Formats: sequence, structure tokens, C-alpha cells
Amino acid sequence: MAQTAHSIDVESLMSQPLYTLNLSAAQRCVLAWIEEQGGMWEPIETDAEELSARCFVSESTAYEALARLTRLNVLIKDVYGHYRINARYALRDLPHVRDMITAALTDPELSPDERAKGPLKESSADVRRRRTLKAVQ
Amino acid sequence: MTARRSSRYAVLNTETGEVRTADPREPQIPFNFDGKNYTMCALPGETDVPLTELFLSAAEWNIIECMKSAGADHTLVKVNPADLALSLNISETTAKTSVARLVAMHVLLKPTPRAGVYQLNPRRWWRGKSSGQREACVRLRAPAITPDRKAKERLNKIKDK
Repeated sequence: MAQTAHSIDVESLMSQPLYTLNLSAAQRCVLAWIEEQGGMWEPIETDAEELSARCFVSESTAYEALARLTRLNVLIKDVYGHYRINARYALRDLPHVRDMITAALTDPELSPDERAKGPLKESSADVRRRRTLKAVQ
Repeated sequence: MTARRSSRYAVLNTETGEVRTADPREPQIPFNFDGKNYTMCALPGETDVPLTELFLSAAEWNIIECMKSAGADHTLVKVNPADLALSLNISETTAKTSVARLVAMHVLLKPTPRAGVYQLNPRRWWRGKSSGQREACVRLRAPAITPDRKAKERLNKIKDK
């Protein structure tokens, strides 16, 4: 396929593999739990205390895991303090979504034709209704 | 005593006196995307053990991710422990024991005991059509992911505290 001025490099949308980050088992657990709660799609409200109970680690370990994952940008923290998984990492696991995003960035915009700009065609039911409408008395 | 999110809650029916334990978090189906032809994670309604209860080591987590990148979430992939150790910066012994543990817990499946090819359990990881996932489960006779003795002992130890 010929390269265009607007072609997107698919690799640039993905993060590096997580096994290159030397994450500990606890950090992996925290990330897996947030992913299971839907953290790839929406920010998840959680804290070190809950993660400690869910991932069977101490609270300090859970706190450090959250801090490290946030520092590495694996987790994105929003203004409300909720955590979402970095979309670049999520796209590694979702090749169809990745392809759809790159296609959306390179596909041309919709181009309305003359018919789209013209008046809406009246349906036969509307025509019949217009003919049989009676004035309110 | 202030309520904590990690506390165990119960719901009391004041009319009948029935008590039910309640989890503030609803059980989640661990799939990433649901659709006809999209990446999926688990079979809907699957009640396998959560991965957090397997007490996987960092090397085992990395192996799962490496296998997923290599395509083991939809096909059998040949695994060479030496190459795996080199990619993940671990020793070959660690790679072999980690793979063996993942196989014992049915996280990784082999078509035959002596085969050198592995696939991630399609009940938990699948990329492709949902019909393909069902076929893969039948073809591989995919069992449920089961914690091994080490994971059970650690879980019991934590719950006993």
C-alpha cells in the first residue's frame, strides 16, 4: 500500500512490552486486577487498601506498586484519583481496535453528495397523513 | 470503626433474618472486548480462579505476556526455554520451572505431554471469533485454571491471619 502524507505508523500506537520494565509480581498482580475490573476502558476507583486485600499483598507493597506503575505511565491517574490502563499498552492486546484506529486516522472524511444536501423525501405515510389532516374545531 | 472498602460486608434481610455476604465489587468477567470477531479474554460466565490467587512470580507473569505477544492466545506456539530466558533476562532454569508451573496450573496447555508447543488456556485468553474459542476449548480439552499446592498454601496462610 502506498504511503500517504497522513499514514500512521501502527507501531507508534503501541507501548513496549511490559516484560522489559522489570515489574515485580505484586505490580503485575495489581495491574492484572485493574485490567479485570475493566481498567482498559474506563478509570477504576481503587486505592492501596483495596488492592492489598484483592491481590494478597501488604498495603505498603500495594502503595508502591501503584506509585511505580503510575510513574512508568502504565497506569494513568485522572483528576479524580482513578486509574486507567495506558491505552498504548491496551492496544497491544487489541489488534483489531488498533487497526480500526489507524484506519480511522487515514480514511477520508465522508463527502455528502447533492442528494444529501437536498430536502428530505416525504414518505408515503406522511403524504397520506398530510392529505387527510383535518382542522381542529 | 470506619467502613473500609476491603472489609467484608453482609446484607441482612430484616424480615426473614437471612444474612448474605456481599462483595462491594461485582464479579467481573475477565474479557477485554466482546464481539463477533474481536479480541476476547474469557468465556462469558467462566468462573475460573482469578489470576491474583495463583500467586504467580514475576517471571511467570512475563512468560504469559511473552506467549501472548507470540500468538499463543489463538494458536500453539513452539517454546524454547533458552530463547525465553534470553528474551526475559532470566535463567534457563527459572524459565523451565516457570513454564512447568504454568502447565501444572493449566494456564499453559500442551497438546501432548511431551510436545514442545504451548497455548494459553483458551478459557481465559483468546483472540479471534467466539466460535473459534469454543472449538479451541474442545480441541485442547481445556481444563479450568487451578491453583497448585504453593498457591493454595499461600492463600490459606493469608486467610488464616
